[in-house]
Amino acid sequence: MSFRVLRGVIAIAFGLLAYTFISGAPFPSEILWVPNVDEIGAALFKIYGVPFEVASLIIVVAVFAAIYLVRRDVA
Amino acid sequence: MIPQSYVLAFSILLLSIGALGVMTKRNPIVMLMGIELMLNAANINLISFSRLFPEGFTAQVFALFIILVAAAESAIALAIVVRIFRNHGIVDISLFEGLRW
Repeated sequence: MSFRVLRGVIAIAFGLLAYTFISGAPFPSEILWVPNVDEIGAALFKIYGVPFEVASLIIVVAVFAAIYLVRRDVA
Repeated sequence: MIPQSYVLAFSILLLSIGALGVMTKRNPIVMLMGIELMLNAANINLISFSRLFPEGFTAQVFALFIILVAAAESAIALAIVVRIFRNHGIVDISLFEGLRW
């Protein structure tokens, strides 16, 4: 139980420490807003075509693996 | 427009909540939810820093791939949890030491 509390304290302390770091960082005051959905869609099928297909294969393998794992054993 | 530091603060909040869930809970489903929160925090970081440079969108595409891999990871992990529950009747992660070093 005490280890769980310690780990929780560590997580909260990490958050506070990280917020302390970013609160003093010199970021721009505003984020630029440029719609680029067209460019992303085109890049997915042109520049990142091969990773896109590999990712689709990963999804298919994951779905089949999940189905295989949760199948009912027929004795 | 939202300042960059606000977005990063939100990302850190998500990351901390996710880490808190992973490190303090023993239910693997809650741990999975924590992992998903941490992945979404990483995505928010990528998107926010990408929007600082509007001519580049590599980080946004990378975030899409992270979402995709997170979906696959969740499917496999939930299947493992279901299998563990069927075999043992309980999903308390601290009781399973078969893969411990």
